Amino acid sequence: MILAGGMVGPNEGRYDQNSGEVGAIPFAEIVPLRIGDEVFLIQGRLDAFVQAMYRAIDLQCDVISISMGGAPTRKMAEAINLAYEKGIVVVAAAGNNFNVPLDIFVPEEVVYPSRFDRVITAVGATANQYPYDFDAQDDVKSFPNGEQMQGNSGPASVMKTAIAAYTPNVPWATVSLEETDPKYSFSRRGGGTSSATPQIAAAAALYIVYYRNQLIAEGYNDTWKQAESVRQALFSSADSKKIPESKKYYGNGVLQAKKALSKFIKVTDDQKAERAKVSDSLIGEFIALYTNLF
Amino acid sequence: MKSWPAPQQNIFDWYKKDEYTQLESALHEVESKIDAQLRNVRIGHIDTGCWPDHPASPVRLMIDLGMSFVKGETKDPKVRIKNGKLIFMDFPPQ
Repeated sequence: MILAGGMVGPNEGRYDQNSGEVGAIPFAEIVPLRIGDEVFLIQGRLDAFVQAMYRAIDLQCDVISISMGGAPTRKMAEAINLAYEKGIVVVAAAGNNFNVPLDIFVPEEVVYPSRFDRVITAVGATANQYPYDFDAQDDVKSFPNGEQMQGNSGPASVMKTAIAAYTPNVPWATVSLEETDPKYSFSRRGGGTSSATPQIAAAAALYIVYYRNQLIAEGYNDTWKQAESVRQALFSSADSKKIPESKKYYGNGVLQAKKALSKFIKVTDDQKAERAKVSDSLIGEFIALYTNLF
Repeated sequence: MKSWPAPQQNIFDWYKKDEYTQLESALHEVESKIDAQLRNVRIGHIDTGCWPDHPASPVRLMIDLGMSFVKGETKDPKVRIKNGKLIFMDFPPQ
C-alpha cells in the first residue's frame, strides 16, 4: 500500500478521519513476486529470490523493490548485475536487527542484496528525523514483543549507495480472518526497513515517468545509464543535513522525492557502479550465520 | 510502535509530506506535467505476496503477471494464510 495503494474512502479502515490516495505512485503497475512467508533471505528462499529477479527483468520492470534481505549467492549477484545492465533500478531493505542481548547472530550491518553497490540501500529514519537505531536516539527505549526491532546500517563503504526513508509507524494493511467476511483495516505500526524500501522505489519510478522522454533521447533506456541517472538523482537530492551523523546512518541522506525531479541527471561512463560479486568466504560467512540462527 | 516517535499529525500519510520524503509533492508534480496516458511505469515487488481484496492494495496490481516462486505452491502470488494468520511484514502488529 505504501508503494501504489489507491483511494481509500472515509469509512474504510480504523483511521476513518483519513481518506485519499494511500500510495506514493498509484498509477504504477505493480507486479507481486512472492518468495516466502518471511522476509529473511536464507537457504530455501534464495533460489526463489533469483527466479523472482529474472521474472521482473523479463517483464521489463523499471524498478525492483525488495523488502527482504539476508545471505548472498553468486546467482543473486548475477541477477543484480543483469538488472542493472538493463537499466532497472533495484532498491532493497538494509535489514533489521533486534536490540536485545542475545541478538548477537543477527547482522547489524546492511545485508544482501542491499549491500551490493548496484542496489540502493534503504535505511530507516523515524518521525523525529533521527535514525531507526536505538543507539542514535535520545529518550527512546525498546519494549518487548517486537518493539526492539531496529534498522541496519553500515559499513561506510556500503552507505555511499544508501538513502533513508521513514519507518516505523507507517500505515500497514491488515486483515482480520476471524470473522466470516475478512475485515480490512490499517495499522499505523508498520515497521522495518521493508517499509522504507517502497518509498524509495516510488521516488525512483516517479523520476522515470517524469523524465522518460529525456532518458530515451539520451539513449539511456535499457542500459545501465538509466538506472544510474535515477540513482544519482536520488542520491544528490537527498537531505544530508537532517542530523549531525547523517553520513553514518543515512548514507546520502533522507529521500527528497520532489527535489529529485528538479533536474535531469546526465551520466558519464565512469559512473558505472561496481559489479556485484560474491566470494567463497563471503558465502560461507553468511550461510553459517543464518544456519545457526534459524 | 510505542518504542519509536510517532507523528503528531497526518498520522496516516505523514511520511509523504514535505518535511519528510516529499513524495506527495513529487506525485503532484508528475501528475501536473505528464499526461495520464504517458504515466507508464512498472515496479516488481519481491516480498511475501499481495492481498488484492484489501482496499489499499495497488490500483494497478498486475496479479496475472505476478507469481509465487515458493516450492510446492501454486503460482498464485497472494499472501498465504498459515495457522489462521497472515504473515506479511517484518514483525506483525501486536
